[in-house]
Amino acid sequence: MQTSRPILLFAWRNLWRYPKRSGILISVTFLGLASILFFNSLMLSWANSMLDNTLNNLGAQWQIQTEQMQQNPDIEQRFLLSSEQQKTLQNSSLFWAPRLNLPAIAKSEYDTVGVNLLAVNLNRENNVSFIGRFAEQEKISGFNNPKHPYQLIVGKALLDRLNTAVGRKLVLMTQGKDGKLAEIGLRITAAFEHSDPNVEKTMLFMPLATAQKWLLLENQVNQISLKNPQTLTLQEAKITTDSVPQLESIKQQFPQESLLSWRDLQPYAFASISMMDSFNWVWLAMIGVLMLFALLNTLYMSLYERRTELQRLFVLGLKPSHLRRLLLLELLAILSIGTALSWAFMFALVASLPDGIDLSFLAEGTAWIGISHQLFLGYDIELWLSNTLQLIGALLLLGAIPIWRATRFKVLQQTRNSLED
Amino acid sequence: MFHSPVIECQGVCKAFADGDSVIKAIDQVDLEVFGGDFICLYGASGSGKTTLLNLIGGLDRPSSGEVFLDKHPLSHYSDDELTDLRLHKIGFIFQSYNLVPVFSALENVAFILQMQGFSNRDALAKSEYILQQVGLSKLMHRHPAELSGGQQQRVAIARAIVAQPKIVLADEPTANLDSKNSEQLLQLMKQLNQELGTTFIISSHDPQVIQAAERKIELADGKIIHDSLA
Repeated sequence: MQTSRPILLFAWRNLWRYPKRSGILISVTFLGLASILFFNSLMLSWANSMLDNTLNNLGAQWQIQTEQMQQNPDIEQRFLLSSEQQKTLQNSSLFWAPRLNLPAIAKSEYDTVGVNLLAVNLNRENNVSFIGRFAEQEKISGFNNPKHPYQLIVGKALLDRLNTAVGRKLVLMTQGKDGKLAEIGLRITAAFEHSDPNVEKTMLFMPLATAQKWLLLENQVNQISLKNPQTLTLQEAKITTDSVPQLESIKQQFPQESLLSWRDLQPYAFASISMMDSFNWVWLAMIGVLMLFALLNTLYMSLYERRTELQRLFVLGLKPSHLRRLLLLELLAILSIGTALSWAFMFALVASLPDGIDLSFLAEGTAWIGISHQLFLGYDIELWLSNTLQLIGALLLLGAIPIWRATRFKVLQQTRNSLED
Repeated sequence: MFHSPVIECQGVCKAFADGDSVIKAIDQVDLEVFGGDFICLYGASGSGKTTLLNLIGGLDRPSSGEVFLDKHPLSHYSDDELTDLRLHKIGFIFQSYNLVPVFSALENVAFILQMQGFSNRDALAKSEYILQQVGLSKLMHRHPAELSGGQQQRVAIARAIVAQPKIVLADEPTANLDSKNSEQLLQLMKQLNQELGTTFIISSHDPQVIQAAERKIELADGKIIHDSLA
């Protein structure tokens, strides 16, 4: 269309005619949209961190255990892991790790502390929990070797608390299957660090075979953690049910026990991840309303100041539709510049924080809500794009109202009191 | 001088409500304007000059009576058609120039042609020619803020005539100019009137304008009380 070029040029030059006003509108768009995109990224990293902590710490994706295990994790919840069951798990193509999860007391020469003892098979934990990966990184060999059965991996914070060190011995006490106190002395092989201070302060890991022998629990465990080799995405995590066909056959093999999903085991994490979209929406709506007030207010003022000019253009032969196109293009240009700036800023921000945001000064708090103290800002282009389009679309749509009103010429304003009207 | 009326007003009235009373801004005006006329509408403030200009320019609709442009009644046109009519057939000159401040003189003139659908190149070429005609060939790339009042009004005249309209309506075009500039502007308008045959209807109190007009129409209380042609 021949008229598009002059109108486009007019709109573009008008932007710089009132640099202060355009600057304010661009700043409002930039700040509003950047805050929305930042919140998107923060929520994304929050949810990813929460999902990662939930699935990769110790919880895994599913757990086989007795119904009472969650309320009362002790030796009474033990069950036999038969060779047939092991075969089913082996054939399922899922990663699995049998455990004995027991409350215990750790005693050094200096102190005695209540701990959470996890008897594990490190080879199996490798793909299931952080302790397996830790053992692989630290090249802890022989943990499952029956020739060196009395090994222990302890959190660094617990070592400090017990005033002991790697290489020394700790005495562990827990309830035996006969209800009496059982004791064992184990040498500390390694000490791990963890983003969750509670894990570091309370967790101890010993070989599963040693624990079974010590507590006379041949082939018995009280927990089996399962994990799908395919990483669970955030989108899949928001769905309430699992579509993993192998689970059905596993369930049948464990008729006395429950197969619980991470959603049942960590309901807070699941609720937070599911509500991520809602949080984004609430923030988008809040910022959108604030931006709308600022934008419409400035737009109304500018249109009021320009009413004579618009009227004169109408007199010269520009139709209201031309004037609306002109004003909408001006608004679109302002919103586009603000959008480009906020996207560029967010890309730069994400790129400038490759090591994430360090929240270690809030370590207790981050642990309490189940996220890592290192948050890695990421971006979901689809989410950014949809939020940008929703926001800019809404602002354009609502900005069109004062524009439409300001260009609703029928005849000159001075004839408003005409008898005909 | 052409003898077919370009504009014809037949019993035109325009009344406004003012509280409970009714003010007749234009009262039973009959008028014929011929192609190539150079008319001055004069009279005291509130006599109805600008209202009559608005009615002729299709900016307002009469309460009764009819305005014809080229024998077509304006009441038959929709608002959009009237806007098109103003763009193609009527040129406007305002007291306060009303140039687009972000455009140069050349762009201001070309803008009207571009809105009519002319290509950018043709619009600029025609505008350059017209600006040369009004004596602004050296200033055509300046913006309105860089031009004097007289120069701005010349640009406004160039903008009004560039599309070769049937008529040019000028509302107090010399009101913001000194007498020297007013004189030059009047000479320019008369020159264009004679060379291009463009019809000018000028509303003014300025004795210089009244003096220069070939046809003088005096208005009082919305009525024509004197028409030098009659």
